[in-house]
Amino acid sequence: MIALPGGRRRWRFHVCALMLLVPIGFAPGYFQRLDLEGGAVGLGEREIGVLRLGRWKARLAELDLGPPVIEGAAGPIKTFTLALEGAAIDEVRAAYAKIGEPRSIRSAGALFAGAPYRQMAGVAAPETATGDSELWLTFEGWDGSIEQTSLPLADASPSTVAWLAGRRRR
Amino acid sequence: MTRAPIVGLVAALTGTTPALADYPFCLCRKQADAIVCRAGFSDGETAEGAALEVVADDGTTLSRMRFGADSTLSFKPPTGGYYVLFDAGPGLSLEIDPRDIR
Repeated sequence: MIALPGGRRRWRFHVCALMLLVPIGFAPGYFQRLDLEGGAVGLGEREIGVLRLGRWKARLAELDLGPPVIEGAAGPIKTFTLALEGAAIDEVRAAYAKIGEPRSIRSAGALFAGAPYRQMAGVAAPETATGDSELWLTFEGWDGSIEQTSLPLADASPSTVAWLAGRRRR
Repeated sequence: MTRAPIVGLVAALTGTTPALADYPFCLCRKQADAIVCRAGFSDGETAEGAALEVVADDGTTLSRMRFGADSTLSFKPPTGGYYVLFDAGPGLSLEIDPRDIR
C-alpha cells in the first residue's frame, strides 16, 4: 500500500483535488452551448432555410439538434431561432411559431424574443402533434397586417418528429 | 475546516442557475358536467389574473373568465363547437381543443 504524505487523512485532499477536475470534463459542452445561445456559431445548429411570408422573408433554424426539452407542466418545448431579412427587419412587429394551425392571431403560439437579426422562441409540442404536423409561422407588421406560412414539421425539425414517433410508441 | 473545501465544491457544482423561461400551460379535464382548467407557467408562476375564454368555432367569444389565486377555473361547456383559449398575453396563449379534454 502506498503511504500518502500527510498521514491517513491525506486521501481527502486528493479526493477534493480530483473533484475539482470533474467540471473540466463538461467545459467544452458548456462553452459550445454559450456560443450557440450567443449566436457566435450562426443562427442555430441546423438552418432550415429562408421562408417567405407575403412580402417578408426570414431565415429559420433549430437552435440545437436535440429533441424537445420537457419544461415541467408546460411539456415538451423545441427552440427555434429566426432572423428577419430585408424589409421585415423594420416592418415586422412580432413573429410567432406554433405546431398546428393557429385559430386566430391571439393563439399564434410562441413569441420570438430578441433582436430582429436573431430571435428565439420555445415552441410547445402538443399531445396531438404527430410527424404529419406542420410548423406555422405568423408575422404581425407594425401596420397591423398579418402574414402566415407553414412548413412540415419533418422539414423544420426531424429530431422533434423522431421524438414524437418514440412518444407514440411508448 | 476540513469540510470547507467539500461544501465549496458541492456549492460550485450545484449552485449554477439554469436559464429560466415561463412557458405557459393549461390543463383541462371533464368533471361531472363541467370542465375544470388549471393553468400556470413552467417556472412555477401562477396564472392569477390570466384570462380563459371559451370561443365558438366561428370566433365569437362565448365567455371570458380570469384565473384566481389557485390558478383553476371551471365552466359549463357550450353545446356547439368551441375551443378554449388561455390568454396570458402575446406569446403566452394556448388553444385547447375540446377533443383533448377528457
